[in-house]
Amino acid sequence: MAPIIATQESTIAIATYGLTKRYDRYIAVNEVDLRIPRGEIYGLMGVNGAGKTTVMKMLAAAEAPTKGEIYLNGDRLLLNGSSSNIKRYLGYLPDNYPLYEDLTVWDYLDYFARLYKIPPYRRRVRVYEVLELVQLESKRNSLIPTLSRGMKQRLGLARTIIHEPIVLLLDEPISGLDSIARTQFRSIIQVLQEAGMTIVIASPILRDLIEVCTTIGIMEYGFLVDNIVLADLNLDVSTQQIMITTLGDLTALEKELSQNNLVKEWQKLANQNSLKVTFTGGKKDSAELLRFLVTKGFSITEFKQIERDLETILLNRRKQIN
Amino acid sequence: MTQYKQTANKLPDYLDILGGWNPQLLREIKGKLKAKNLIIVSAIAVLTQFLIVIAQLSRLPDASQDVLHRGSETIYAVKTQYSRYCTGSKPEFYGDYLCYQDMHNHWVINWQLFWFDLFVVFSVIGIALLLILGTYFLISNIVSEQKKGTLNLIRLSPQSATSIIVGKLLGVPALLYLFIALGLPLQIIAGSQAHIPLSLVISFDLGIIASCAFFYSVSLLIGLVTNKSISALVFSIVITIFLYFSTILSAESYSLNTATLLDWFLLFNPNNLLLYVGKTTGIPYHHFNYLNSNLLGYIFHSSYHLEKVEPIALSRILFYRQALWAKVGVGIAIIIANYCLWTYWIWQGLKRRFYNPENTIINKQQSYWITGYFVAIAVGFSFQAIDDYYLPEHLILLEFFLLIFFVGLTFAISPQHQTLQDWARYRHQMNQKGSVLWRELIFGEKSPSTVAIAINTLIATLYILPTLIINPLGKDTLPNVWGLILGMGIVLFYCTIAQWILLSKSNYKVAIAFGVIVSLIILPPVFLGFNGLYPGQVPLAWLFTFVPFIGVEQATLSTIAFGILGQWLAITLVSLQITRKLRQAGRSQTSRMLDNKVS
Repeated sequence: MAPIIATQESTIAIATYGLTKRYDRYIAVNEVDLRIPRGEIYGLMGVNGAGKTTVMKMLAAAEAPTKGEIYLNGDRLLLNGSSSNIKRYLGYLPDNYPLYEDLTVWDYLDYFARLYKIPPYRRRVRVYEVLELVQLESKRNSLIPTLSRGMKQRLGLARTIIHEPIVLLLDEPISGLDSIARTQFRSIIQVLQEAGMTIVIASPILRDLIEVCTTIGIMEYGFLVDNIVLADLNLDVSTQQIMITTLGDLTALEKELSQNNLVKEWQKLANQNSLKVTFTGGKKDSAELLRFLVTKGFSITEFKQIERDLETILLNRRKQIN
Repeated sequence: MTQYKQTANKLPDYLDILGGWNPQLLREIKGKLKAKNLIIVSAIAVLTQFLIVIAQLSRLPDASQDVLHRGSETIYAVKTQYSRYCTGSKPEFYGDYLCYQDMHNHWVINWQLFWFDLFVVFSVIGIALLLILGTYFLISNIVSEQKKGTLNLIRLSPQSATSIIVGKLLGVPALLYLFIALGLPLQIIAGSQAHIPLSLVISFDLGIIASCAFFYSVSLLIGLVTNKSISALVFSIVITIFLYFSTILSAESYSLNTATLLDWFLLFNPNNLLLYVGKTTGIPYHHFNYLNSNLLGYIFHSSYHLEKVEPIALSRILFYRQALWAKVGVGIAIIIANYCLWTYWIWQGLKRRFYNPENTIINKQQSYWITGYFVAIAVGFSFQAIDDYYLPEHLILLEFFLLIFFVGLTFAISPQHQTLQDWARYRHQMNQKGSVLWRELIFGEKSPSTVAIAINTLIATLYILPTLIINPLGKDTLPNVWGLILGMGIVLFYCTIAQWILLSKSNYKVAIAFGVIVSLIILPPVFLGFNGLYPGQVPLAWLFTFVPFIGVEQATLSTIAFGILGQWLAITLVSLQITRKLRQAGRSQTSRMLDNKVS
């Protein structure tokens, strides 16, 4: 295999080449080639057992790949004493966010600040900073077992970012949290992105990822099957969906619609006198359509553009590919 | 922010400096040395010391008096008393000495022995607590950190393995250290009062520290490798048994060393240093009767006369016929060096397993060094006497220990099933420049260990062979050489079988391999013996037991040649099985599928 010089791709924070992990005959991760640019929030989506956690562990140097190479900011990641420099800018929050029972919140963070060799003059300030960020200042002298689940998870995140990593790996960080805790967690992640971190989040729930991520990679059976930049999807406004409700006869409306070139397809909504129309025109065209229908004498009670749901778009896209 | 100026969470400076040096140590100390624990442990330590001293004082003669009535006169006379610390004569069949008073009516006491006994009690309790409890704490700690997943987080930090290991070794038994430290002043005072030179007391304590470093490193490694909480209990029990028996071995009749390889074990028990240090006090040896049952005397029919020879086992050990332990200071230095050597190799394993739990404990290159050291030291203890009548017995003992060592080494350098499978599957894809098969088999990180084990046995054979030839054995030289070659062949055969079993997927493969090796050692000789097939009748059969030495004496040259040929045939067959299994494991999914379609 030709050596790959990742340093040339200076905007790439994480690059993997043919990353493979086998457990006995079972191939958990198969030839995954990731390219994650700097400053991105990358979501790794896949059902349980698709290989997300294994990829995360290998990226974090918690497990050795069977085959393949990992480069973080151009440096090769290896599981021996040589990677201590890379480890300094890597933050990893495993899905079970392990904590110590016998330490206070402060001592726990101070311990990791020291493990990560944060210089003494910076350490106390840094511990206060992350405590403030995860909103645990008031709990700093509490013993860890007395914290709630959400607090523990935030403490885990605080531990992960204490050394100001530039690559952050979060494995299912918001699973099992209530909605308030989720919102808190999301806002923290956005703050971290603004600070310039590259963040990888693994989750089986697409909705969780869409809310924060800029790019989503989809894993199935150990393969990375899709890589979707969400910004690209949003730009794609050439089609829209319109819900039309009428008091009159639906079949007459359908007949009228079928003659319009811009109407691609429609479906009846159950228990309602409504149609969901896929319309390829722009805003002007839809206004034209409404005027046309009204002049034709249809009693239109509702004519509205349906909010585009990224989740459905993505799922549809997956369906099309399959 | 105003909060930053608060003094809360500010550590005392010395702790802060400690944490700067080793964060892991600070973390362990913060978790364990809490005010409540400190008070409890200190209280127990002081109380224990108080009780020991009281118990010791109660062995001195007291002021009790006999009241005699002579007519109307009442005479108060000093009661006749016996004590270990008195200076009078010793009645037959009675352990203690008659007590005298001086002209000021004070008891004449052998204070030196009194203090020496106190020194012994403190040291024995300290050693037992340190080695038994300390190893237990360390294994449970590392296993629970692994189970919770916190060890992984430490692994991911940029700290070196050494710094984490040092932090663990110094920090996890912190409360135990406190307990011991509180007893240390009295131990040192007792030692000095017993006229042991202060430097020697300190060397003795350094020896204990070295033993802790060794046993603690072993326990961390056991914790990392087994990852089972039960290991803590098992290893503590093993250490207890080891301490108990090796102490008895050297202290029971305080007279014998075995003049065999077994003497090496004496160096690993810090208790054995006690009498060794004690002899510098000039206290007569017969006072060292701490275990007074002479069991060993019955076994070995000891005919040593206490008056004529120095009855401290350690002092009499020879190493390559050199009396290295004749001088106490030098002896302790060598014992510490022995601990350091093996601690160093254990640390190599610790580091490797720390960085990557899928690594083998040691790599192949390290195994060659370890074998070299092991064989060199083992041979040194095996041939202690100049013209040894029992040389074949020593060789059998040596071979037995080499067998155990090599089976252990096989476990330590054989990669896990998964690693081997991946190696077989992806070797051709991951091939780096200049990596040829033989080089990979000898030095490779992930390759099977068959060749490496063979090289290790070869190293051992090549080292022992000249030793046999140099020894003036006359006509016995040749049989011993054949015996050695056959013996190492058997060792290699057993190790190959162990590897074959380790290649399987079973969760119990280590236990199975262990069981098979033990039965291979025990069953063939027992079977042959029970059926009346003694070496004189079927020497060839005996060449395939783990003690081919027995058969060699009766065998002709052609039988020996057959034996060697047979052994190598067996080794080759098992090796071929291993190769076949690896090749199967290394097949790609596609080739597997195609095969299934064909069949």
